Amino acid sequence: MNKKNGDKEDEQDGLSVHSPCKAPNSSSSSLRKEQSQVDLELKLLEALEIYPPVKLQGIHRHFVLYGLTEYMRRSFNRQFSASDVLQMLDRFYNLEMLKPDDEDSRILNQVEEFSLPPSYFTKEGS
Amino acid sequence: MARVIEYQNLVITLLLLLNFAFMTSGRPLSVLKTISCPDTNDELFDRFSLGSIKEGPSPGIGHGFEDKAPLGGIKLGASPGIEDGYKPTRNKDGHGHEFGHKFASIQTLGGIKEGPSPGIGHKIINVESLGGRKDSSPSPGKHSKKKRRVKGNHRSKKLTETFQKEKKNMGSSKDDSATDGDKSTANRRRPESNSNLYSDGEKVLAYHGPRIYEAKVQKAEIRKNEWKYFVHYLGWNKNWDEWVGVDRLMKYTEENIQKQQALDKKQGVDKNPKSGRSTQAKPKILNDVKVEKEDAKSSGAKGKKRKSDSSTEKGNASVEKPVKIQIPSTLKKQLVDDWEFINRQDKLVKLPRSPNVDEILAKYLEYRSKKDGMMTDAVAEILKGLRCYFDRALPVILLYNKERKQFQDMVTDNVSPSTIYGAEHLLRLFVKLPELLPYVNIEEDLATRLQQKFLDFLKFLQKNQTSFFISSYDGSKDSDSSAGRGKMNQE
Repeated sequence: MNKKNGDKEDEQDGLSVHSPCKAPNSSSSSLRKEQSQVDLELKLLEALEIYPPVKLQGIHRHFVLYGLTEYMRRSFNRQFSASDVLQMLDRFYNLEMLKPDDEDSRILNQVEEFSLPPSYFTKEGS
Repeated sequence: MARVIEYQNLVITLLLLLNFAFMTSGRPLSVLKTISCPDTNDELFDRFSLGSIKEGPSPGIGHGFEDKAPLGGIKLGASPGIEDGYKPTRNKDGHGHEFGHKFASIQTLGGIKEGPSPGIGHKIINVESLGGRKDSSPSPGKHSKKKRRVKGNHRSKKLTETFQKEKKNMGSSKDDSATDGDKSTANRRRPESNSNLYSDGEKVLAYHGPRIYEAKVQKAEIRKNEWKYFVHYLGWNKNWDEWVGVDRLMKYTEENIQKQQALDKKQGVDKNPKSGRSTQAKPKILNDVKVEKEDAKSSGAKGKKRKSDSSTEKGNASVEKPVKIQIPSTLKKQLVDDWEFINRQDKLVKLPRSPNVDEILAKYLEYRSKKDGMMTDAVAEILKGLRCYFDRALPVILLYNKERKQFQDMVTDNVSPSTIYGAEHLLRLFVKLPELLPYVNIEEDLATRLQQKFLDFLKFLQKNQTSFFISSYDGSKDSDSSAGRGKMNQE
């Protein structure tokens, strides 16, 4: 996940880039467009309740991103790409700075031998 | 010239910005700032409010509620302590003071009361308000208490008595312990001799609602001739930290732990209606925070309970085992053969594999885009996720012991397993996938979708079983690393 730095001064006019009313993919700055941008952002922030940004740094990040994207898709009934979502998120969070959850280190820290569930073997012989 | 125009743009945008900021009724100027580095993960969610992220806790209600009219009729004006943020002040106004303050934080999660209540009244409610949700109609502590658990009642009543006794006999001795809710714990003694029972940093057990939780004493003070302890509940967000009296604390002993477990068991069935967090959207946030962030830090049993606690309550939001993966039977057979070759016949998969995991995933993506047309973005993301899991999981849970040496030989520092291993090991990932996924909090219907996608992928593997999987393994144990290195540029 390539993250730009906090200051994306290249984006527009040398303003503080974290002005929420700036849509990266909007060509017009009409008020209506702004409104829907607000809607998008609101929805996104809602979605973060379920998919916290911090998880976007860990091992599950793709699934979390998937969840976020699907949420947005369903809410607006239109296509979103994962990078769209990431871009929007970037406006609120500097994702690079998020520390991955401790929990990540919990789940895959114990080496254990792979084993098949016993049910696999009872079906053997067919 | 350009400069003037720039300046104009600046002004216009600023104006627009301010408009926007006012729309969301956030703190206008803060919105401009980058939330680049929240101090702790917790605070991210403290400031969480729909529409804007603010920096720093808002005065009073740290959870960033927009409306100052809270969910049940708290009159903030009545609680002067609020201005201080979360630090209760030191003047001896009486309990109403800091407890009044604490209303602000507590109310967001459960119970609401009116104004400051005298120390006692508040205390009683404290027992329940976080355990249960009250409706907006404020009910005096004692009244609602009747509907609650006997245990809570019992204790609260005792509290009343003991408090009253407190006031009368400051200097009395062990008689008071008889009126304690718990006779067997000799530790719950009135601090009559001003001796501090619990020290800073001591791990204790604390009542909160009808249950007992592990907590740590952060501070100890005497207020109104009683010892008060500012405790932090282990594994919980620090917003829950609060001042409690000796009556709510117990030493961290085996006996008390058993008490805790007994209560936990008792509450087991009733968790849902009682906590009432399921119905509140905002408390859900904190639930999430607690579960996901604090789970890592929490101690064993309690951590688990919290997790299942919130997951049962949140219903859709988080599922314990969200994704059941049905592996097609021919693939299961493949897995059994795999096991047989390696463990019974002392053979190994010849590495590196072609196609390797990366290639297989790419082929699947290709296959899907042909079928679906454009909408492969979601699939792509999932595949990335799978690859991520594979690379992380392979050395940890996807190898038979007999394969370890081979792994060490083949997968050196900068090499990712997905370029070396192939379908055989990828398939093993699917066996383990249900164990990995629950740690991701995903909505239920999303879990179903995910399941379908996984299944589809498995079917794809099945379809290509003969070309993806090797039919015979390598008998000799030497790993032939140079032959046909294949495409390692899948990065």
